[in-house]
Amino acid sequence: MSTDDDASARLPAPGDFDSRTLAGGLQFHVRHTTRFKSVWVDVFLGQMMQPGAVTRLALLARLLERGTRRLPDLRALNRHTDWLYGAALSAQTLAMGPFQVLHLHYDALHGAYVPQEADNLLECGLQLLGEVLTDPFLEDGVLPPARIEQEKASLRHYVSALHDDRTMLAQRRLMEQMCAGTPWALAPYGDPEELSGLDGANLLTYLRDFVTTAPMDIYVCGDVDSDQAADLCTRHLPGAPKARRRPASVPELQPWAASRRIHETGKVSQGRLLLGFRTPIRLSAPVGDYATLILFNLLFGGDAHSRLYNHIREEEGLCYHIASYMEPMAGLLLVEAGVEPQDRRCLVGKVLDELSDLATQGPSSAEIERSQALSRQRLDSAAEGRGDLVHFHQMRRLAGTDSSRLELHSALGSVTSATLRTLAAAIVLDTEYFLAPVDPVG
Amino acid sequence: MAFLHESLQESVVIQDLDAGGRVCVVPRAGRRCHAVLNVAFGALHEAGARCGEPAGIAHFLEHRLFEKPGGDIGERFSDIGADIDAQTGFTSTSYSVTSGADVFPEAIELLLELAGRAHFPEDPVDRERAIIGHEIQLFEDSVDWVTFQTLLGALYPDQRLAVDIAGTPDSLLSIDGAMLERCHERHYRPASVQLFACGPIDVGRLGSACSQALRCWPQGGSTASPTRARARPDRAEATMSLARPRRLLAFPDEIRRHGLALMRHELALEMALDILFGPGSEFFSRHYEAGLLAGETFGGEVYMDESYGFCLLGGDADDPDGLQKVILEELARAPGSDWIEADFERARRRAYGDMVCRWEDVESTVGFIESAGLRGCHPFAVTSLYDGEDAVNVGDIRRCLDTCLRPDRVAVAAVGE
Repeated sequence: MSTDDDASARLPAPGDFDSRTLAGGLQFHVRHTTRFKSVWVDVFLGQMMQPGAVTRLALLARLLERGTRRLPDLRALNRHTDWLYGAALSAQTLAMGPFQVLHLHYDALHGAYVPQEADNLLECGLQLLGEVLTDPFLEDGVLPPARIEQEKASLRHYVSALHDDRTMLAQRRLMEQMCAGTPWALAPYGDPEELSGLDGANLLTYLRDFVTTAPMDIYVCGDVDSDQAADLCTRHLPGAPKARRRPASVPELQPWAASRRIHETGKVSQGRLLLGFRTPIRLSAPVGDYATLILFNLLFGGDAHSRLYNHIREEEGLCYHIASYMEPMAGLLLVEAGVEPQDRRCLVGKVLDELSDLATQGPSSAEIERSQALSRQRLDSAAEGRGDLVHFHQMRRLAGTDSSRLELHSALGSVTSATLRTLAAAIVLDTEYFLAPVDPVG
Repeated sequence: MAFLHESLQESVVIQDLDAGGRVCVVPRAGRRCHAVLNVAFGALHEAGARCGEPAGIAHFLEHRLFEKPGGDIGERFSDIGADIDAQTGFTSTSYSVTSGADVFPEAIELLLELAGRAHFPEDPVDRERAIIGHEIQLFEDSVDWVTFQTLLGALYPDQRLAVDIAGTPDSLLSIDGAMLERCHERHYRPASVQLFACGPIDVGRLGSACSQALRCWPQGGSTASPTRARARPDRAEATMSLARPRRLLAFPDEIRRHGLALMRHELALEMALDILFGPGSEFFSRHYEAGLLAGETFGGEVYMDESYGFCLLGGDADDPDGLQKVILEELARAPGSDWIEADFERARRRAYGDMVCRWEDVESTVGFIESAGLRGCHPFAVTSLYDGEDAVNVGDIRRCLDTCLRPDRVAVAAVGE
């Protein structure tokens, strides 16, 4: 059994979850631990992102939070979970690489912490999750048209508000252009331009098909009896008349041809610079290669001890925000910074100089050791949380790899300056994107 | 002194240090520790430019303390795999570290060095001014930040709270190394320090390490206390390019409270907002379905301290005047209604569940004990506000309608094009 109750163990057992396939094609993953005072249930149903489909699922996720036959409206649903001692229920669509994932989350106190006699809050939750997916509130046999119109309006507003965040807007614009024609170009929250044809009947048909055919993973974390939790999942969550689809293979990006520069203007106070680099390593690579990418990102720009932070922010004072992060299923490394237009060229040059220096000189042993220590601490820390563990596991299931946290932890020690240098030399700039103020100064 | 909470299955150890300052620890098995070192020096302590403490110096000091004679101390945290962060608030500055249990003693030593050792050469101070200037400009694109700052300007015009914690480009101009040194010496005193921690921690060893380090700090209490803000609610506007305007209302609470009475009032206000305007309220569903309020952004928050107190409420709306009108109408009807009595138990259960969940991971546990400790409360006295005979009651929530949530005393922030 996977458990983290043995505090003396430096690392947990290789797998963080006990996994099994339940009736109805449900992939069930449980982590027993007495560390927490609540129990979490996370349900993931994934599909490859495609135009049209992303918007349909994004709209459906919003409608799932609007009510079920038993709890017919927003207020009834919210009050029901409040009465369960502040239980939480949510439904949203997320991007995991090229996949759009419908993620349902429920959490509630463990019975030991509920002050009075209460129902079994885990069973209440699985019943609720099952009802949300299979028994939504209907009017005349379809999802209520008035609610659909409300949620279409809310989704339009939501997307516009997201783009009021200029950093997020710049990230989106970069991905749309760098990955045009691939799933990575699409947003998991949908495209308001695609809402018009969706109605109560076709959305319900789609929902019924989706919940019985899409690959479905369920994670239960907390002080639970594994068999009992599995039984509750089988009883309450939707089965599948036929075999569920397997997650699709992760597609390839188009081959890199040449670097390009995109300059757009917007109502921003400070320019937003995004640099999209291609790397040869993806999440599905051998674990030693992936460990190299993780350490490279950390020492390049992924943390406050990194090259970009130290040299460009602290020594040059060129910006306040500069950081790198990864899109691991596509093998992309992204650098973002808030920078004045007159400093943009200088900043890009310095980022490329750091990359070039890493490709020729390689990082110092101090840089490597520091990044290893931080990565190890974070991988260890993940065992004491739930969200990160579930995300780590689900990402790997979708990427088609079964490398574990322990294997990644071990592989960090094998990364050398030479392997990091080789990686740096293979990284190429694909797209430079700059969102500039409409009236730049200077 | 150690205390045990049977139903939460947690214990708290509190130790007053010989050198001054206090340590508060929740010992817990595991592999990971989290600690926050809090120094009672924030934006509201700043004495003003004429006294050599211009707006933003507390935040500037927090940034510059990372520079030590051997370089950025952040790298030494990274060397042992520890994550370090810092934050300047209205009434204090906190330095937080997360590390593996095996290196926690080293992480604490570094944390005490970070806050305690002054080293302010001039060149990096000039560079820091540029970096903070970039930071201020970056936040000018954040609708959350702009709205909050606009609201503080409407609620406390011409007072320190109305100015960004980071100061302004002008106020930063006069800051130099000598000024930082004087400011550090004046405010970073052992008696102003509290350390909050959770994880597999040897409390005796932690207390000794803190005492030893704090003996090297300037002795005595800090010479400043935070300025009490006085609300003069007004309306303020800010221009921003937004898909929909944002409207935020603030309701000041001018009664000065301390300790547990303050935390009791804070919880009562949170429950009042939940009952009247929360996702389970009739108000929320009616106006969500009518399209007047946005589910993602509508909500309320409570800011309660000895130096200031207010609730804010609002969100994005196509018709912000309409949203403001229905909020104020609802508050006008609330005192004559039985909403609070009818919905009290639901709101209490929700608050209770949220409180228990704050005792799950080391970060949120430290957040809970820090919030209690900074108000001079024992953490378990605060948990008793949620259940049992000392719990917040209907009368406490009703009083919020008289003292704070009044439709006739409101500040307004209107943000949009």
